[in-house]
Amino acid sequence: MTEQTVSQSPPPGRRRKPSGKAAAKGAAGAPLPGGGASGSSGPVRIALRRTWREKHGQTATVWGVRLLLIVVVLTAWELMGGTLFDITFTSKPSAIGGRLAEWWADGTLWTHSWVTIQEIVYGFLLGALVGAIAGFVLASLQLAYRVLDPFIMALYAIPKVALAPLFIVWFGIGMHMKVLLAAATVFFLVFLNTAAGVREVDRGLVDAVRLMGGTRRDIARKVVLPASMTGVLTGLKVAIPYALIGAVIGELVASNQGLGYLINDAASKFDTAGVFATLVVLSVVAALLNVCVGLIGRRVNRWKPVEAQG
Amino acid sequence: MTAVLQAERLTKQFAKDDSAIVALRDFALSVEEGSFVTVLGRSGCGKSTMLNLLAGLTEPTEGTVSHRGKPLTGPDIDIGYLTQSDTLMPWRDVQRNVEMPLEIRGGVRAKERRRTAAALLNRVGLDGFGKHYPRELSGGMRRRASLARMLAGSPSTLLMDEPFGALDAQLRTELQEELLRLWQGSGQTVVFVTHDIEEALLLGDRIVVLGALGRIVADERITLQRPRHVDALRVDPEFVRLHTTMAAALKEGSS
Repeated sequence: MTEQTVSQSPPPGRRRKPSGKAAAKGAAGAPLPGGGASGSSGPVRIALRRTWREKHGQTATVWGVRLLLIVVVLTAWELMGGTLFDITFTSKPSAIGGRLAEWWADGTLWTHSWVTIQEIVYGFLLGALVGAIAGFVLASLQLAYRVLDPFIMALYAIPKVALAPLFIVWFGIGMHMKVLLAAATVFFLVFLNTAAGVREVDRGLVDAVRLMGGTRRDIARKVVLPASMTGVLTGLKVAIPYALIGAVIGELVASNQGLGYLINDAASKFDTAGVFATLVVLSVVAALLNVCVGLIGRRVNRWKPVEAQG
Repeated sequence: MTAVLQAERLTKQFAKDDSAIVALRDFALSVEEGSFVTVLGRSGCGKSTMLNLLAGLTEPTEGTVSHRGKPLTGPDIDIGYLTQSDTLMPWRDVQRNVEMPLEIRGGVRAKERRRTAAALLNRVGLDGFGKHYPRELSGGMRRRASLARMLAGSPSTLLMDEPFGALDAQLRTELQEELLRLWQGSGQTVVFVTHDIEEALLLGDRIVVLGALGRIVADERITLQRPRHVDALRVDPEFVRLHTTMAAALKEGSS
């Protein structure tokens, strides 16, 4: 019976050998009703005083070197254009800047950019939406996915550029055709990544919801949907440049407005400065879209460890 | 005493190509209301398969599982199951993980859910950790959170599959005692699977030793006084006797 009296009121720290480690953990051994005492086990957060250099030094260096790189490349280009290279083919930064300013002033830049931006955004949204929904639904239906998988892969492998002539026949040379061309590319990328995300959901999590009495709908909404968000976001991220490609290719093939048209028009007049100026605008558009998706990703992936948030 | 869980002629085999791997054969077990049964067995003896069947997660190839007299056809919210690995939703913070069973059951208002979850977190010693995501917690704290989530569904039968297997010895002792404290007086029935003889004897009212394919090689009552304490138990003659018997049974069962 002595054992009973002992265990009824264990003296503090009785369970732990008084080693340095246990002592450092402190109240971790306190009994349960103490409430929250066990919280002190594990890592502890402390305030840290660091100088601006320690905190931001590396970021500052990276940005500094990036800036330097741009300056060096542009200067070299400027100096070599007209001396080492024929300016007709390579143009030079000052001429490109001049062309941009000129287009900006007469409104050309904005009119054409706006058309292309619309095509990209609509195409991206349409493709992403349909792709995510189709990926989610189809991957949830195991049998259907297995049946359709080879066909989808075959369609995915078609170069979307090859669809342009067909789309012109179907939808004319207006904006619809470019939007759909962009959407077709985006669709497959988002679809495949979403489907992969859905199919890689941890069985343990699904079983956990089943044990709570969850229906298929609960499983889809509370496990599969959040778990597949990583896949959806990867899809969105890789699809951005393809939305641009789709829209611009569409414009290159047949159009009378948009940045693709502007490239074609400038090139046909041997205006390389104009071609490069358009390319600059396109990369700015791509960068802006990337930032948007990055912002969504940060919100959705808040639960992930920092190093995996990319 | 009535049987809460009853398994009869349970057989489970996993088909692969032209053959099947038998994990459990003709297994029978009857668990009494309010008892704490520990199931002891070596790795690969079908312990997890048995628990999955008792939980209704998988269907037996043959035989039946009845829960409170009714045959079990799928998971039942009256049966809680704490699996070996953590299955907390990584995108939900601890508080929302614990609320999940209530959320799925429905009919409980959000405010009520939050209060229940907070009370449970307090009971398992996770006060102030509600807003943390599972990855921010240590292994032991995740176990506590899983325990709280299981208890949130207020099941009357608890199944546990080596829940403390991955923890260090001190933490395991701590959590074992907390589990006993939570269980005592709750009237809940527990089936606790482990490969550790000491753990089985410390926790259970009754110990069942499984041999290969889930053959029962020993089934004994544990009459050790409660509350039990591991350091005191080790020198208790009854404990030593049981320990020796069980070790022999384990050895016999696997040969």
